Amino acid sequence: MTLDKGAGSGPRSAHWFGAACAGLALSVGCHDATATRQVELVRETTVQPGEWRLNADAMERFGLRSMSAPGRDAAEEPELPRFAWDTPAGWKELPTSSMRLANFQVAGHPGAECYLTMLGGVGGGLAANVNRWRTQMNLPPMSSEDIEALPKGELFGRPATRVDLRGSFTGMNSSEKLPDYRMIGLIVVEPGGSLFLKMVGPDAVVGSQGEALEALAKSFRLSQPGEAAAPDSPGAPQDTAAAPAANVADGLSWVLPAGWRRAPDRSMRLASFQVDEQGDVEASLTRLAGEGGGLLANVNRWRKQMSREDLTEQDLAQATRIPMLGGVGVLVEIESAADASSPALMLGALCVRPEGSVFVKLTGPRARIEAQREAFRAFSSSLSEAP
Amino acid sequence: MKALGSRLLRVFSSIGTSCTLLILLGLLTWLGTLEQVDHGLYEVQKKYFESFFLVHQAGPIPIPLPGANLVMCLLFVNLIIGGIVRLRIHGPTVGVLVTHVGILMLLGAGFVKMYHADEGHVTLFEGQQATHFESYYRWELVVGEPLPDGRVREHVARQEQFADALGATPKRIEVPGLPLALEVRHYQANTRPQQKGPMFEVDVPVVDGLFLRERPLQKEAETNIAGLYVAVLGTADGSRRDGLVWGAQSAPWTVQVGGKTYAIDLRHERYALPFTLALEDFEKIDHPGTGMPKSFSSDVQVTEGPSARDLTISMNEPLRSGGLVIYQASWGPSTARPGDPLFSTFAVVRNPADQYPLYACIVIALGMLLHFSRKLIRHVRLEARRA
Repeated sequence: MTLDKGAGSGPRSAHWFGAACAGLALSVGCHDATATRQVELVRETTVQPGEWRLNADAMERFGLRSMSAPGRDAAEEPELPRFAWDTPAGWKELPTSSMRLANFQVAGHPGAECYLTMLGGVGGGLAANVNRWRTQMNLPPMSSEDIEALPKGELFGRPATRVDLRGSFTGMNSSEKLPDYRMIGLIVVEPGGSLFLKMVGPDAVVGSQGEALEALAKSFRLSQPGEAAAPDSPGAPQDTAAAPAANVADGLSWVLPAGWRRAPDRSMRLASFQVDEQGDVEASLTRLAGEGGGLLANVNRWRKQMSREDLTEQDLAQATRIPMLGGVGVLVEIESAADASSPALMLGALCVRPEGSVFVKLTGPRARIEAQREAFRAFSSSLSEAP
Repeated sequence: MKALGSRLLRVFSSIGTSCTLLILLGLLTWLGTLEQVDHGLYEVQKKYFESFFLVHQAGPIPIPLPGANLVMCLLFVNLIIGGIVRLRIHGPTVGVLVTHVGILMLLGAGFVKMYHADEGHVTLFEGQQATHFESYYRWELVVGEPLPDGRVREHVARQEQFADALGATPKRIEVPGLPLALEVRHYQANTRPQQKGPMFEVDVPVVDGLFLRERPLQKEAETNIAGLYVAVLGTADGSRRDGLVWGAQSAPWTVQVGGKTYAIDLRHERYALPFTLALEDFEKIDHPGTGMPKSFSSDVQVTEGPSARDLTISMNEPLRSGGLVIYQASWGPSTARPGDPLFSTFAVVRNPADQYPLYACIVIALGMLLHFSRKLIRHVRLEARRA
């Protein structure tokens, strides 16, 4: 920044400099935020398969309801305003999920449950939801007039329609009819959102808990400042990466081997488990509809992941059988190919059934997986359909 | 007026101004670095270094400061006037002049990069190919018009055209060539879609039972996911469709206008590659006995028209082609088991001034060499004469 005094100064330079400063000021200050905007960039592209799925509704687009194929990302657990409730005596709070904002085991009975769900908008309407519940209880649909005439209750401080049904219950993920069941529920349908509190279980249990349900429904409230949100309320402070605590997921239950602990849930898996202190080796539990492609195809898919050649049906007939989910499961052990950079071992247990197939898989360094062999077998055998 | 011009010229060409500007740059760098701890690199870069003015909050005291953009503009002017225009050019000042030209080149490189560089990434699994790369931070609003040949014509609004639609007042974006226009509002730089329940109210519109809940900006700006309320207005039929678009939606919002289907998507800004980049093989070499990568590299094929080249991109050997620099950045998924398919992520930079700093440094070094060589020779001669 050397300056020789007197050199080059003069009127022309001054004018030039002033004009430059004025131009700079104008260019900085004249951005018009109200000007009409117009798309100026147009390009033609080839669409990658699955990139432009048309006609998906908003719930699907935002991952609030699963689509047939995984999306880019799913919305995280909703951050609702904190709310609280008073759990009825003898009831047990269960972990919540993305759908169940509050979740309970009723009166200590493992087959009786009660949960609160919410939908944006009218959620299909009152009649559709009442008749959906009636279908689950294997009852014929009601007319609109009969639905209008249903008794009223209160849920979250709002008028609700009370539904009380007796029949054979068929759950959403099952085709089995459970006789002598009862369902009592409260439904709020409003344009600003809909709430559903449903209690279902054996008639003998649920029938005695009607008043408890109504008390619970009335107790739901937004947390006041200073009031602790219920521990599993979606609004309650929680570590989003925290692992679910219960040994149950989506209708399956299990006995956790010593040293195993539940890992944060991931998409496509029912549950994940860290099997040792290092925490970087996880067992996965997944379920597929129907036979999920079949036993041999799944075993060979796993073998391919370990760079191993396919087995035949005859080979598979030699595989170890273990008790699993009240039936028979197949246990496989697959070593990585000899030329793999790091020796790995995969343990797998498969229970392939027409009504839904369950897969357990554990992969990692050979020595650490071998140490889990018995625990893996015990875990797989402990799996059962949750009552 | 002439006197004012001369006075301004003197001020802007003085070495005092140079020192003041350099001290301000140092101060901004220091304050920006401190602020980075709480607000992350991206936000600090925008506030302190890409701005003309800013207000630094020193505890409860707001301190207005010039942004580094303005400071560097002034320094550029200062260098031109003081270091070049007003410099008496003769033998002893040639080195100084060359050095000043080098510094100007350095500043020029900064401006070119700020206004004309694109930075982003492309992620590919083995066997996949890409014809574009995506920004880490910037968003674009796209109206996709499916074409009969299966391709899609994309009408793209850049972030500047909707990111200031922060409140309820809509901004209108015309889409030439289509019978529709967009009305955008409630832009949120980090948001999550959520269902609206009847038991709470929200201060943004609810569309199809859903609303966008704004979340605090994250320090890691690439993890922010933007969202926007969009209305599609039929310019011919006067129709209006309201919807939400979210940066992580798994499918675009589909609307019908004039009997034709359009897809509305909010996604990271895309930039065309001047070639097709295909990942043929990704190799990760782990440290022995661990899952920690020692090195990773990607074998890619670069296809431009009829010619195709096979190349390897590794951690320290980027690919320079078509004005782009493509670096091996990362890989995943981190939870992949042996045999699971891996993806490779490349950082892509298109910076027309990519090599300017190198040239500028050479020019500066040459100028300083000239200047100090002359000084040294003069000093040696003087000493010789004294002796």
